[in-house]
Amino acid sequence: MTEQEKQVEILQVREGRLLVRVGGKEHLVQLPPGAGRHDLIMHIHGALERQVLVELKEAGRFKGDSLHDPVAKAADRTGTVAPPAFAELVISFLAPKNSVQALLGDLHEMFRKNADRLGEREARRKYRMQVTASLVPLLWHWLKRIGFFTVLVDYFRSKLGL
Amino acid sequence: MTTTLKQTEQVVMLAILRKQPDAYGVSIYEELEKRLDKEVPMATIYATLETLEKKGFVKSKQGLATAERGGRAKMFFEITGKGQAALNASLNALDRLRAGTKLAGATA
Repeated sequence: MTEQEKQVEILQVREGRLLVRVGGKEHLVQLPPGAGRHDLIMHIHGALERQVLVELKEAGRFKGDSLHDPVAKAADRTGTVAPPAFAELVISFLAPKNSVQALLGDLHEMFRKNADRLGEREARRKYRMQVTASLVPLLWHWLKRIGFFTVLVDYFRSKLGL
Repeated sequence: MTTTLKQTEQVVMLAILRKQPDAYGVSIYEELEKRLDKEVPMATIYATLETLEKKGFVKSKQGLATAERGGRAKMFFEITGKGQAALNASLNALDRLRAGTKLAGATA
């Protein structure tokens, strides 16, 4: 192990990748497919910052890509953690205006917590589940808000001549 | 005064009481998940809070927007005096109904 390898500083942790500074030069360290985010988190929690890269390297489980590499840059951009846009759109359409921002904010906060704890894929799954479970109450309140049931009752009254 | 609170309204109000002064969507959700061992949809919590606010049992105030919430503000909730009285009456009614009954499998 060289002296340079010991000087590792973790700058950022994102989606199975570490942005590290080794000997003054920044690298994107990525676990290969199959190793998963869990392994990375275990390394972070289980080891001191300086040991992480060395341990991963000793296990032969990382490849270092310079940040100046356009491919690595593109991969980093696509790794931005954000909740599913369509699910957000559904909520913003159905939720009441006075609480829609707070509701979306809460779902976003939970998504971020889950992404940190369980990884982005699981966080997205949980977000979609949360939105799906919210559909019935949201739809019910939306129908009540737009007076759907009053229209329905009026319709049947007129049809039955009441 | 009305003492009719639905079970969802009762549990949401109790969760607010437990989390005060930091009762907002996520903290209420987590409290319910922890205490009831059940995931209540966030929209159900908000729909219940809206109903309770209309009844005058809770009041809300806007918090600050943070980056971890995608720049959206928190909405904090607290129980009003009227709400506390209604919750108390509702739980007392439940206790009176329960008094003297024996449930199979009950530990207490």
